[in-house]
Amino acid sequence: MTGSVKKHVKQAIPAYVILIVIFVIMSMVSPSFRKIGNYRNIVAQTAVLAIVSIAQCNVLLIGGIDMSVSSVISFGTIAMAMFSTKGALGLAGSLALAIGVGMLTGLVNGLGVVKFRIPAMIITISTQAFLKGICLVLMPSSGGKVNADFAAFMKTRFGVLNMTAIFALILYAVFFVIYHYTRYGRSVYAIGNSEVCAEQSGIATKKYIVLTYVLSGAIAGLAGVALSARIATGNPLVGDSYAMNSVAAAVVGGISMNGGIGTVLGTMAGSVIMQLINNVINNVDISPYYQYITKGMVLVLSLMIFQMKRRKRA
Amino acid sequence: MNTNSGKLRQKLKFNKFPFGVYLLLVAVIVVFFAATQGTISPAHLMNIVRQSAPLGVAAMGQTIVLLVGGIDLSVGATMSMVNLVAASVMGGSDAQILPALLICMALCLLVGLLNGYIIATFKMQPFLVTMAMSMIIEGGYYIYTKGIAKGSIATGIRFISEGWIGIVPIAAIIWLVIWLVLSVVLHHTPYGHRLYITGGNQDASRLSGFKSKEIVISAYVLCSLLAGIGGLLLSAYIGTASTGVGADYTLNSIASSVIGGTSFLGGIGSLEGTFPGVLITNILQSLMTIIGISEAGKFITQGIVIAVMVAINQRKRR
Repeated sequence: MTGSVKKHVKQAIPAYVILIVIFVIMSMVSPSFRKIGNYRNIVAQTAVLAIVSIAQCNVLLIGGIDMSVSSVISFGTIAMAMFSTKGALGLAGSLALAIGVGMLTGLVNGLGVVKFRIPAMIITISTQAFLKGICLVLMPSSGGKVNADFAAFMKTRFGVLNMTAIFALILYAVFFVIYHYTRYGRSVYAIGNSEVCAEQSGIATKKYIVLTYVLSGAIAGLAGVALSARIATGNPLVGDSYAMNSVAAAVVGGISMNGGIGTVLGTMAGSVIMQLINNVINNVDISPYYQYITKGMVLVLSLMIFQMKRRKRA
Repeated sequence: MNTNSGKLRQKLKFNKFPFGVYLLLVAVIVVFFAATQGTISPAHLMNIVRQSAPLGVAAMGQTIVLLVGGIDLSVGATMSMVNLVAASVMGGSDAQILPALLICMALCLLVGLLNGYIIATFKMQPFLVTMAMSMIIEGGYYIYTKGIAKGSIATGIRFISEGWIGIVPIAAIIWLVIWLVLSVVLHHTPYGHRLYITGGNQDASRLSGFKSKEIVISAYVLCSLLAGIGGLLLSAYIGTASTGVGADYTLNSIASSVIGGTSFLGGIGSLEGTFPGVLITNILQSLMTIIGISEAGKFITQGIVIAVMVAINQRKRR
């Protein structure tokens, strides 16, 4: 491991500590939490959020944000539900459609940021709203049917893990290598730290920013496909919570909102923590409505902590 | 001739009054009449004005926050909260109107203070803080109502959205009066000037001796209070409690502000632009209802309008 990789990986340590603490405390307190079935549940529930969080992590590292992932996910489930069992597209075609629309959304986001200088937050909220509208036109309420063989394949179990979780783990491994051992990764960190400096050092910043948004869209599309295997139908609103949760997962995992600091490894722990909040609330018999308050507070608090740490250093 | 038109252009360019948006409003109204092929009377247009009042008031709050370089994504949740709290405290009885109003405004004050304080003190991204706040508010009202909206709005207060004076709806009068007061505050008081300057450059204004932190906080407080008033107008309009009635208002208020020329970078924009912005947003969405895609159309118009208007605003500045 080179020095800079070590520095980034260090940012992930607090998230893993929090994760372990939650696990240990919950395992001691709640007998239903300790069951192997519950672990399986956690893994199955986390897998989709973990995949989206990679997308969010990419964009945050470059100093942007992607709120459109939620609608891309919803569109992914709709594409799978409408076309994977009937019509000319077939399974491969609908997979390509889900990912393609994600990439197209990412392209619009990237060009909006680079060419029109629209703040990332605003352009991605716009594409989120637009694509949500398209989803509602295509499928006003949940319905359709996802290819049963595909759904069964994604649910194949290997011990505690299922196929979706394994895909998620592979993606994390791939992106860890991409971000820490390739030119693209180093450029992303450089742009996130200072776009001006990166450009002056000869990095094609605009190209990389657009590429990052397109990549983010593609991964969000994949997450939609993975989610469709879990819920087996299409749903125009099912992705809504993922935009906020993926940002929270990345932030809890140590990614700075200003870009350039953090690592995907932390994001993985962050996504498990965000999903554990639901699980913990269910297992200790608190009203499920408390999850909103808890998640909101976790996000604000972790942002505050990172912000204060940064200021102390500055 | 050439210099004359140049002068005129310059005059128009540097005049604060956003003529372009009013031209756009006229164009949108013409399209609306054409699309409905005359089946819609001018009285219907007054009705659209009446329905626009909640958004109109909330959007003014959003504009003020945008002016100080922030953004408030908790507007919708605040409006939903006011609806639920007002309905449950009133329970349809006129005697409870005053306590209900006081409780609602106190809650809005708290939301605004928290938003502003966290953002200004810790220098955190406004959209994340306000979005987290909107999650917390939503969680709060779900816990309060246990997921089932109860209560109804007292008949004594429903006149603020149901009443008419001649052909003018009372809701529109409330909207215009608030607009007038805020417009005077923004353009003709030291506080208003400081608000614009703080939005233009927060550090510079702090170094010039303004209390920029307090000004930012006050903007968020104003925004939440206006969202609260908007929520009351909305509640008076629908008359019952219903979860998530405010959900559309967050993006709609942003769309209205940016149509009116308010910039995301702070310091640029005015309430005079937001007024036609609100009407344009609502008329576009009425058009979508006429086409038959009201729910989906709402999101599609929001998306396109925000992206295009911000792109235009950014281009103008360069």
